[in-house]
Amino acid sequence: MMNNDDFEQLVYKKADKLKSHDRHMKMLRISVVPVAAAFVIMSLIGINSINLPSQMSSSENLIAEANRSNNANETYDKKSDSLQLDDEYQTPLNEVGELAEATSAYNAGEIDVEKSAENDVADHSQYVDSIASESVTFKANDTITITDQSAVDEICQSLSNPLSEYVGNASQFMCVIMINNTEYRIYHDKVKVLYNGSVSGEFDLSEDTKNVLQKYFPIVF
Amino acid sequence: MSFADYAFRQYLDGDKNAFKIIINEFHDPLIFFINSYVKNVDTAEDIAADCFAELIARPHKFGFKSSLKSYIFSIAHHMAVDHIRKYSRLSLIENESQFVADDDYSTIEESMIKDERSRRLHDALPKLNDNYRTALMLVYFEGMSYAEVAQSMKKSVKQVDNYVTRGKTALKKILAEEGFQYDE
Repeated sequence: MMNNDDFEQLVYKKADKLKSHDRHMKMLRISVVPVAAAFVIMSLIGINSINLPSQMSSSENLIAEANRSNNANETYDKKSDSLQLDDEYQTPLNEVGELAEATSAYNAGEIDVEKSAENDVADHSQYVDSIASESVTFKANDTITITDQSAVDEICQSLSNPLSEYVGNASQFMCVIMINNTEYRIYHDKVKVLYNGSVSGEFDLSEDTKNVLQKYFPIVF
Repeated sequence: MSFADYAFRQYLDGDKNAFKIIINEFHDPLIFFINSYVKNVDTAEDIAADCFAELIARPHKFGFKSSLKSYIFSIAHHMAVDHIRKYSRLSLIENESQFVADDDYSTIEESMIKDERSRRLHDALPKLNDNYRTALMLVYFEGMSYAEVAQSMKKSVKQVDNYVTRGKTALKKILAEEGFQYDE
């Protein structure tokens, strides 16, 4: 048998172990209960996954914002991550590759995209049937949203703008690019920068910028 | 409020040395009580340490609803029974013949068993069923009242009374079979 001091030490050691165990169990209960409750609630209301605002990509946020504020004739379909244009403009051409292809076919404010677009929209099979059945036409003032991040980065870099999303709007100017509240009016040889409708700057349009814009946008300089 | 209860109150109020009083008060009776179940002094000592540790780590469970003595023997009873259940399945519990008491435990035993009559009673107790044995141990060796035993065993006083009565009858029968002569 142990002497009294050793026994006392053993008691306190066991007590510390018990306390530590209790703390651990308490933490487990704290962390498990809300998660379990959340899953129960989700299952009750039929939600299979949560997309928190912080987890949404910046492009999704900006596109949603752009859709809300600027475009009366388009809606952003979050589920399919694609842009839908109203009526005769309905098209899956929200992918950069498709826009680049459209650019090459662009002619004096009007382009035709034939059934070959089917190949480019394999990921959007729900639209394939409608695309196959009709030609798509771009006109002046059409609004195009580019969601491809690398394309957006390239365009923003060409405009020396650090923002990461833009909505282009073909108009009587060569092109108008909206990045949040900043408007870039693209002319043949210059870019005017407007902030909240007021001109805040102007710079020459370089050949590099032209190339980048031409790559992604139906512009002929 | 007993002296042990008062000491525990002082411990909860921040007097860490007060717990030494509690350990000194219950160390020997607990080991003696637990050993009657587990038949191994070292194991009994370890379980006794677990009982005190439980008191330190989860003092809110006590709450002074019963006497500290009832509470700590209640813990000891449950822990001893759990130990037997756990290790009997693994066939690790030592049988009585393997148990050799060391000097320290002999001292404890001597302090708990005052005379030959008590020793015969103690030796016969393991032959009783668990409830009879616990009730008799707590009443006759720990000097607890029926009410305290009832709190300790989480039974009613009436049930404890029955356990003690039936336990004594069973014990009498066992002792008679062993040739023990006792005064009526």
